[in-house]
This record gives sequence, C-alpha cells and structure tokens, in this order.
Amino acid sequence: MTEVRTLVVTGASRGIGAHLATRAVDAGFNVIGVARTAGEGQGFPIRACDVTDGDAVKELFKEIRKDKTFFGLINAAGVASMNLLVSTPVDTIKKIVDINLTGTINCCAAASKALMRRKQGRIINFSTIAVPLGLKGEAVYVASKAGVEGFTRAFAREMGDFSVTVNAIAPGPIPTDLIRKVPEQSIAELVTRQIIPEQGTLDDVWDIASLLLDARAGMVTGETLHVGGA
Amino acid sequence: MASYDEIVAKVKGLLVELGNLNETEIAEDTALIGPGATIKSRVIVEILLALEEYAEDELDAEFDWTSDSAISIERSVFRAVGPLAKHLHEIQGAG
Repeated sequence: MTEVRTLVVTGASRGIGAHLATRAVDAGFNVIGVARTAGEGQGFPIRACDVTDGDAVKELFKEIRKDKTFFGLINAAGVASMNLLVSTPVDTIKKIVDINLTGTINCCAAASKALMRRKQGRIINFSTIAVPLGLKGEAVYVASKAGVEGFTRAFAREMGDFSVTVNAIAPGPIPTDLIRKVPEQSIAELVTRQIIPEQGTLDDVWDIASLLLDARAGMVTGETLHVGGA
Repeated sequence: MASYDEIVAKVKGLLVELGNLNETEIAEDTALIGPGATIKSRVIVEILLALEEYAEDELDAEFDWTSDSAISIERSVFRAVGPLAKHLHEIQGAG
C-alpha cells in the first residue's frame, strides 16, 4: 500500500501555487491548499488563511499537524510589484515584504514542529531569478526574495538535525498573473540573461519541486534552484 | 489535573527516552540549558516538542515555548527540570 503524504501548498488559488497543488494531487499527494479565500482547487480543498497573520497561521497548522501524514510545505504565496523604489508607495513595500518574506517565515515556523517530531519532511520556499540578476524596477521584490533565500539557508541548518530539508526554487518569468503586467520586451530581455535563454513553464517549476519532494533528495538542503539557471 | 510530581516524572521520562540519560542522574535542578547542561540543544527541542503535545493532549493547556527569554539561563522556564515542570503545572487547564 502506498504511504499517504500530505502536502500543504500556500498561494494555492492561482499561479504557481495552484499548478503545483494540482500536479501534486496527480502525483498522489494528499494536498491542502491555503489561500486568503477558502474554496476548492482541482482535487484539493483550499483553506482560508492570511499567511502574514502569524497567529492565524499557527492555528491552521495546529490542526494540520495532528494529521500524522503531514509531510511537507510549499510556500508559493507571493506578490510582485514592478516599480522604481522612489515611486513605490510605503504600503506596497510593506505588503511585498509581509507576504513574500514574513509569510514564508510564519508558515515555516508553524509547520516545522510537526515535521521535526516525525523526523522527516520537505519545505520548499520560493525566490526568483531576479535576485541574482538584480533587476531594475524590482528592488523591493528582490529584497523580499533575497530574504527568503537567506532564511532558507539558515533555517535548513536548524532543520538538518531532524532530517527535514529546506530549499528554495527561483523561477524566471513563468507565465502567470504575477507577470501579466510586465511588458513582453522586459520578459524577453530577462530570459536572455538566464543560462538557458528560454522562458520556463509551470511544469518546469513542478519538475524541480517533485525532485525536491522525492525520497532521493533527502540530502539536498539549504539550496536555491534557479529555473533556467542564473 | 496532573500533579507536579507527575509532570516532573513526565519530563524525566522524556530526558531518559530522548536524551539517553540515566533516571538516577536526573533531579529537579538538572540544568537543561546553559553551562551546566549536558543535553544537546537538538534533544531539548525534541523534548519541548513532545511536551507541547503532552500539554495539549493531557493537561488541556497550550505550552507556548516561543519566548524572547527562551534560552535565557536566568529567566527561561526550561532552564532546569523543576522550573519546566512548575510552569507546565501552572498552565494546565487553561487550554
């Protein structure tokens, strides 16, 4: 009998999160999606939780961690805003850092206790290829995601004693709502700066996620994997 | 309601099980953190995780061990077996 493994995916209502959650269901995972509004994904429930609210996240995982099949967390909730720093409103700066960085940290903190008790598990965070490329017009977004990369490296060390791996995936411009407003020319320029100068797909992201979720990736931790190379 | 002694016994049991200590070596003043402690920080974390579940399941209490003074040798409630058991005894029934 195949072992049931439960995966929590944040940002599961759309974009990369929705795709990863759907593909994880196809791969046999029991998926619990998380988004700001409750609903139904393709084969998985979506629980309502604002990842920036540490207490709400804690309550959510208090319940999830009672499920002894809980195996992993994918932190795909995120926002982007392309703008020069000087013309970015203060509220937008706060929102980007709160969702991308604090939200990731909140979910890792709440989820990690159950994984540590079981001495196994996977945590996958999300950065962006814009971090190594230092893209103009994305300073705040890059700062929030560079924070995720640093957090991932340090947190991986805290989880290493418990056989829980913590890694980050850093996609390039994957076709989702997140980059809908980015001009095509900007995307094309960005793609040419990748090692593999081709625009990645949602399935490219899933392929890396599925590698990290695989039992054979138990010794891969603290890494940031760039889709397309940087 | 668990008595203080029962909670001390629970903490000692976890130290034996997870910390590989001999029960006869464990007293209420056995240090869990700081220079006098012989237990690895990883084991302390495992014990606190187990006590969090114990508090919820058997003491009807929420044992929140996130604290800015968590690793303060003077102030932490888990600086030694006795203070840790006392804290758990005090919070029970408040879950």
